[in-house]
Amino acid sequence: MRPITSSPMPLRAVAVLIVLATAVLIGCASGGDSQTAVPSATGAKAFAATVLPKERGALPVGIPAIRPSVSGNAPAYSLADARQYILCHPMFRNFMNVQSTVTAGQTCDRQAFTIVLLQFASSEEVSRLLNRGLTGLPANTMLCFSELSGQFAFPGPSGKVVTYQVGFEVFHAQTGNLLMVGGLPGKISGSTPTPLGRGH
Amino acid sequence: MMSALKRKPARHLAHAVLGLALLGLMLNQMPIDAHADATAQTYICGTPQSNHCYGQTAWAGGNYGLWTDIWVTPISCNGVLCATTGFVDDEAWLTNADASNWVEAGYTTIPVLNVNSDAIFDFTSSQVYFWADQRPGAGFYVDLLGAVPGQDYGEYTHTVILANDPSSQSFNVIMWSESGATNYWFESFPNSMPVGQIIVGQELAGLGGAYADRAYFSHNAFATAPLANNTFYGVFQSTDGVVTSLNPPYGSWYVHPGYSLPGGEFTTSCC
Repeated sequence: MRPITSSPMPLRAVAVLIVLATAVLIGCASGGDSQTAVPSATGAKAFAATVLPKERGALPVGIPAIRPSVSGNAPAYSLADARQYILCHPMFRNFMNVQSTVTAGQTCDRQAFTIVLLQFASSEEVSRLLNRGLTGLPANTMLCFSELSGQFAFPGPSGKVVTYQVGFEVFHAQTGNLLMVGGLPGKISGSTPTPLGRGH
Repeated sequence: MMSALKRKPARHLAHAVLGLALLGLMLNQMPIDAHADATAQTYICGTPQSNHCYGQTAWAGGNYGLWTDIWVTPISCNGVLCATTGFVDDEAWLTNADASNWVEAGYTTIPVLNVNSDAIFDFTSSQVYFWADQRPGAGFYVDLLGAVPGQDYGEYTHTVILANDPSSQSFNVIMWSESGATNYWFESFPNSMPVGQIIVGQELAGLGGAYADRAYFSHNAFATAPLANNTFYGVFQSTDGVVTSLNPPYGSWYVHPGYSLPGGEFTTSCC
């Protein structure tokens, strides 16, 4: 005796029709597009006057990068450790990164840049080197600063790309975390940093 | 006012049912869901020759700054391409008229080294808060602030980029979450950028491997005054702005500005 079965296709089709019909009914009941059906009394001309947080916020911690190799006070790694990390790992958001540098087993000499300056420096000194306001860390926090020479290209809004011949990376001297990356309009090494004028 | 802003992204019953209906149609007609493998989609979004892809909306003007509430959702970018030039983010930009200078803030994927591994190239995708600026006469600077705390997912992170008094030539970059787990305040200085444009949305770079759950940008507003009395003075956006959606990333208005939600609700996702 042939078992009584039904084709799955008609069942699915019926289910879809039921859901569609429900959607149409609810859509009609709510007056169509609910996004545009309810003009807001506070919409277009609403005025926002909002008190911002009073506290000036947390300190940046960055992301794990250089493995600390020395216990105790900062710095927790050597400049050689920093050099190896920089040369072995792509710079965040840099278009010019060489893909092969992230292939396991590759040597670390395929980056499109070289290190021209590598030193431990205070947060305040790094701000001066970068001609930028405070790093967000206390002025005496020890950091590791690297100036790089090569080709650097970074993305901006609406398809903008900015290119530089000088790049930099900044690490926390105690945690080894990567805090900052970017490109600079000119060399730092051998130049006199521009005084910032305030904030230090 | 903030209490009025504290709400989840709008949910509309009709849209939900319609979504179910569309899902039903897909199940009926497609033996395999094309979006089931979220990381399978490839794209061409970013080399020095081909620019990144955006799901965003942009408004000309902006006066003194911007406010947007970003509904934080998971994003990731895995694979070799993501470890070099690939990433996806949700963020806001305050730019000058031609977007040659800007201040940006949000969260992004970044390949993070596994410090407990002996392998040189042992990365996992992490999601971190960041801000960056490209100031007049200066370079490009990216600040990596820290991992997005677990408590922030499914909550708003208020994101504000706001000028100080023009004579100070500086902008405040402020991010704090409703969960209380995030509270950042930095300063872009010295920065003489004249404000010309506000952009919110998603940026995608690379050729594959990225994924971004649906995020929302709500209560979009522009500032009508520089920072004073620790207060943001502004007006909610009342127009859609110029929407760009390069599919991926996907960007569209979920609730248009000027209706049921002040400043509207723009949504992004990938891929």
